[in-house]
Amino acid sequence: MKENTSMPAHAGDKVLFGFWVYLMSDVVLFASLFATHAVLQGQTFGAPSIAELANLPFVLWETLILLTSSFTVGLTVYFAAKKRKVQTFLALAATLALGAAFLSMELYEFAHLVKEGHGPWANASYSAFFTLVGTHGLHVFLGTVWGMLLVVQLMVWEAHATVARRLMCFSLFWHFLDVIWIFIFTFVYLFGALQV
Amino acid sequence: MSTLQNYSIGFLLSIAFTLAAFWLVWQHVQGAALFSAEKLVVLLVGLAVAQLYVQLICFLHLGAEKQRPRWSLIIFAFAAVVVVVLVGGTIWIMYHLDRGHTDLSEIYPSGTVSPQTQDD
Repeated sequence: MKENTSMPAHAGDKVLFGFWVYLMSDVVLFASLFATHAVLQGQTFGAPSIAELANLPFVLWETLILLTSSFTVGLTVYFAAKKRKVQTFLALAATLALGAAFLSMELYEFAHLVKEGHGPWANASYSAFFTLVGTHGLHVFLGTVWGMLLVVQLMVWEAHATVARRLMCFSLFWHFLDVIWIFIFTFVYLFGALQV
Repeated sequence: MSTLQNYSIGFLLSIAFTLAAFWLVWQHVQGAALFSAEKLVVLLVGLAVAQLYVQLICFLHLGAEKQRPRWSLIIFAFAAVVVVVLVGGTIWIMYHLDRGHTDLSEIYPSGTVSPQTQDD
């Protein structure tokens, strides 16, 4: 493997740590959106709650898809460390495909809600829902674009240390999005279905 | 422990926790409730936190730091405190504000002040 000579060996740890600090600040962003959602959840202005409109098995499939993509991004890092090029590609491609599938399902859900007259402008509860889930979806979208750029970088530079580090950052980002989704699944959809 | 083993364990446990949480709620929605809604809330939070723990260890490698002090863990703990203060504090304050508003109808039973139409 060709080493990146412009950077000392321990610098990669600092980059990873810096990325970790960014993720933890993103946690605070999501915390404020979760708090907003918790407060405004019931303010539907007489309309049914999002949870009453949501199709719970559909959301379960979204969850399982994102969970599987979190596993495949782990495989990507594992194969990249073993320098198995083909497997790294396949695992990354599977991650991006699952991410795209998740996004399509979410957009379908959003489009369906808007078409039925339950857009984010209808009431405070829907605004909070679309902001929270939409912000997560935006993260997944940007992550998918980032992953596509990494595919190109893998093709051009192969097992370069810089690309390996970027893959590691990307995997942290992707796992983090999965963790956020667990809480959206629990607090927005499951709690909503319980009417609490 | 190899990382592949880590990822596999994390994946299987996460799937199990997700399906368990879904199944509990689905039973409840179908009317065949095993637990009351209050107990279910505690169970669901427990399952979510368990899954958070599994993913932090198996996927995000938290606690696997070799250097001391464990800066990643410290930053994580700080973020966790901010989240608890932010979310817990917001719900606490807004819940009491909400209660304060509904109490108005008890203070003015004649209906001279309606909480629904009153401006803040």
